[in-house]
Amino acid sequence: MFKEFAKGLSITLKHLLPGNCTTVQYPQQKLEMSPRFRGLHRLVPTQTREKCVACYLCPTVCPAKCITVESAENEAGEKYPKVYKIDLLRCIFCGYCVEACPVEAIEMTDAYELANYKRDDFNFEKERLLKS
Amino acid sequence: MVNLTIDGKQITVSKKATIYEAAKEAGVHIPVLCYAKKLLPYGACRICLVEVEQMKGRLIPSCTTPVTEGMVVNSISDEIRKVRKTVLEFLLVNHVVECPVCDKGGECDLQDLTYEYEVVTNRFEGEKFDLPTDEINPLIERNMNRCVLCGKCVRVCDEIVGYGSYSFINRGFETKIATAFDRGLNCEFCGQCVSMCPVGAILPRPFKFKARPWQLKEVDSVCGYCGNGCTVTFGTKDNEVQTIRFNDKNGVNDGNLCIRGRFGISYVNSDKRLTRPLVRRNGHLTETSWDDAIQVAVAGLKAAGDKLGVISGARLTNEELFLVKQLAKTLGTENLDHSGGECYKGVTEGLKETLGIQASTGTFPQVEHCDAILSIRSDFYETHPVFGMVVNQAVRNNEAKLTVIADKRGKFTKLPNARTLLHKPGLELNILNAICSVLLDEGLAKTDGIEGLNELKDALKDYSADAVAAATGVGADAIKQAARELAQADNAAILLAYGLPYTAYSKELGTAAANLALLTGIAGRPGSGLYLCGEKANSQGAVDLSILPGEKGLGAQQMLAAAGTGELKALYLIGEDPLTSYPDRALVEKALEASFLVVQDLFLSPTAQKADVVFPATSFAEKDGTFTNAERRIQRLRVGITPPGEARTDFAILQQLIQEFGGQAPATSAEAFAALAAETPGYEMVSLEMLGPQGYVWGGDILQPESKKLLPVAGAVAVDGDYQLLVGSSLYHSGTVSTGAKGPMAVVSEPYIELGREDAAALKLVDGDLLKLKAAAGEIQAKVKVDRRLPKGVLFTPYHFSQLELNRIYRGQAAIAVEPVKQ
Amino acid sequence: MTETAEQVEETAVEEEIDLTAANKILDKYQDMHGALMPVLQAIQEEYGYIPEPTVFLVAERLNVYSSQIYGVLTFYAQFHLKPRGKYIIRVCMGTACHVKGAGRIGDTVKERLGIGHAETTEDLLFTAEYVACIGACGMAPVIMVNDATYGSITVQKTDEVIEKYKAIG
Repeated sequence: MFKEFAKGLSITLKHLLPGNCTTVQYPQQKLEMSPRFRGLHRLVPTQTREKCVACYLCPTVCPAKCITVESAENEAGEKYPKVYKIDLLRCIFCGYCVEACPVEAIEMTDAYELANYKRDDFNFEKERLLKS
Repeated sequence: MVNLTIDGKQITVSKKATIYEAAKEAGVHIPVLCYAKKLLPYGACRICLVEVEQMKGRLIPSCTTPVTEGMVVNSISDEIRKVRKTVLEFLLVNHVVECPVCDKGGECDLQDLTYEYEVVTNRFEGEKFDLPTDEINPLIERNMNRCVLCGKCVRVCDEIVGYGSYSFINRGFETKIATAFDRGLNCEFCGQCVSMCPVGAILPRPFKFKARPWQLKEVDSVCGYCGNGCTVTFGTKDNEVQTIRFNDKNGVNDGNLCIRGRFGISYVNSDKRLTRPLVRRNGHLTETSWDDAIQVAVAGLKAAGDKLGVISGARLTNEELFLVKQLAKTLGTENLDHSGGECYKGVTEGLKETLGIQASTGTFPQVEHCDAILSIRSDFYETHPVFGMVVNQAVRNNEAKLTVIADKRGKFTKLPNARTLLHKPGLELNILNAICSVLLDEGLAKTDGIEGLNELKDALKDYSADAVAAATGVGADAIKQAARELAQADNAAILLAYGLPYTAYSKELGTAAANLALLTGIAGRPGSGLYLCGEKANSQGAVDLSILPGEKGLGAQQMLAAAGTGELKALYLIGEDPLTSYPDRALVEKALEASFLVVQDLFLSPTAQKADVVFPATSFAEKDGTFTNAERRIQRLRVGITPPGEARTDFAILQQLIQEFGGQAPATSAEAFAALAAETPGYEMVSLEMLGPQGYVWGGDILQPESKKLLPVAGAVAVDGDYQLLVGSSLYHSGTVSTGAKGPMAVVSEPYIELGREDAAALKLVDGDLLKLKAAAGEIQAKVKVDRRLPKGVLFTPYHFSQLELNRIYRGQAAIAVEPVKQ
Repeated sequence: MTETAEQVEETAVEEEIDLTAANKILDKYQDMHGALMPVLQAIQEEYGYIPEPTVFLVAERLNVYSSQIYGVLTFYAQFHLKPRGKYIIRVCMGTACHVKGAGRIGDTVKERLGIGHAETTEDLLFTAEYVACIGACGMAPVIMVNDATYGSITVQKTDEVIEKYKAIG
């Protein structure tokens, strides 16, 4: 009985020692996210344009209806998203958009610090998503 | 009838049916790529293979195999699945997989089948096509890399449209669909190939990258251009009609459309649309509020007392026309008319005095089964292209004998075995008389119960086939042959279009056509018909509702004349642009200048620019109501989008005006329909609920004549002059509205003067040269277009463009003597 | 219809070609059902190839779509849409000839005249054609110039043959 008690306590005491603490000292200290973490979206650029071809699959699959796409024709005659917008206040970070994308043009980064002061700032336009 | 079993289901079908059609009837789904309901069986894609017990050992293409008694069909089995999957794999060897950027994605038959048969990998390897795309024309984009060689475009262009733009070229792996010499498309641009293509090889360019099919809201309505009354299905998104969707389930047109219906819709979304009412202040039209505009209009109209006139367009709905009539009644005037006032006289007077009716006697689809067809003017195809396609099908599938009384060649005269009675301009009447005279001389005429036979015989003495042949330049034998064919055919049709550019002899032509219909027995006989087709979407409705001058009232031309002299003080024009489209510009100008003018229109037309008050109205895509097409079919319009800015429906504007003048107006368009049905002959039993997907034909499939009276018609006299100008309608345009639409404008963007090669050579003119035409009343000038269809000494110009100011020389003549001067 | 560059080009070319002969051929076949192939063959006989304006003429007079005629013309190897040389050099590429080095004969023709398969010299003297077999395998490698056959040919002999016909002109 005592033996088990001592064993348990030793684990507790061990964690009290420096270097064994599980609490992360956020914001001084930040966790590294797992690769499959679903954070802020990112539109993947190519050398000349965004990879996205405005196929409308992400707005179609999005359960929160937070993605707005408007397609158009660029000078080269290609289809491109004239408008690509994600309303982050509506987004539920399910990652369906990433899964639906046929050209791997959208991915989710590990960014999770998404607080803002104004509602408008949660509207992520194409330029911002390309840089994120 | 034949009995067979498909997947264990017993079914009885017509013995002409194929296995595919029988399966469809039995509710069994068989996939297809190259099959289309309205095209002849082809058997190109091999997707529809099925097993037939009686034909063991091989798979049978269901779309080309006719049913036989006792047939036992299996539509699906493991082997069929395997074979279909292999066919798909073969197709996908060369087919570029670019579904994300292909506008067909989401409604692509190949995509759906690939998904259904789980073609995830391909056992075969090959080079992907890398062919150039045809992006030269602004309406139809062809990307042959996506083609599956089903041949539907080739077939529809041949079998239905009769143009033959496409063909298979080369052979083996290099086979592809191309035009002659593999050039860019240069055709009628009806877009039938677009609607047929099962993949993304042929797409509507105006809709390129605009939206995905599943995002579009579909609204069934009726095309607002011509009297053919084709049903269209809007694909709307973001309060814009993005495209016209293919729909072969509704209406009379079987999914067929012309360039106007398919690509001419864009005027609806035009930024040139009027969005606010305008009132003339200090000589300038300035924007104002509705209340103000209405007050100014009411004051002006009140000041005129009963000295005013109302001219309506024929593109208003029946309900709105009913209100127009109510308004005229409230204003206490009988000066009420529509669309030029002269052009429809063939129906309102010609047919009325002979047959006692004011409409076509048959319906369009039955023309497909006709044995003989007489088209008066080759322009019929230009004014009513989709009805023209029905004629083409009759000629091709039923070997109908087509005779065209024409002053110029055209699409109809090129159809297989078409007989063209090419006459000097303006002499259609003489030829009709000659045909009647041949019928009487040869004893082919059906004279039972027909009045006025002797008078007609007397009058036709001067119109023997030989005499008319000499006067018109047509072969006497051809006239006789045409007469015999018409008389002997079981089912026959006589076609005549009326409209603003065809005002000459309108009443006489209607009468002559009716005489012929009586003598041949066409009028009132099941399967046959006399078709007098109005130019505009609701021309027939306007005649049915009697938007016509009252007994003491003035017609459109007289109103304009009276307004010019100050006899009428005010004019109210609804959806009309007389300055552009009515004959005799001087008369119109004077009238518009002198009177208090209220104009209600979509655009600031040349007429509206002269107005004192302009009301912004709505297009057909923004309102509900009914149109009656040229075969008496009442069909429903539905609201596709909301009007731009403050524009209001004609219904709402008229309603308010009626109330301002102390009258009673129906509150809704449904109420208006009930009210108009009660007092319009032929509409008595019709209610809105009866207007199904195919609409409702008032008077039934065959409208029986109420009287059978022959009326002699004097022939016309040929116009003197070396050069004669014909005025008419161009295939790509309809009225003046289409000049606000991108599609038609992309093909024909400006007025032109067309002339034959001989004349062009004699005058040393080539395409694009500027030509001036001097006539007695003035002169016009436009670019030259050289074509093969005009005989020597005959020129042609369409009437749609305001900048041409054609009515400076056009005063309703059949042909205008002109003197061409090269600029 | 919009005016396209092609149409202008079409009329321009038309002026150069004398259509009288084609019209004469068509007179014979007018109103005859299924006359397209013999008409095209006769036109090729007359002109040596099928000039573009004749296609539109045939389309108009036989009431066949010009696109369909083009389909027929590109389907059959016997029709040629470009002018052909006075001398047609057929280089046999059949199995026997191939084994005996027909490829080098073809290369020689290309070197001397600058024309590959189905190409014609600018002076319209020679057209080269690589054919599958001309039935003279015993004489491999073999070439034909119009109706004359030259067997067991070498690079030197090819030169000589070409020079010979060049001299005749």
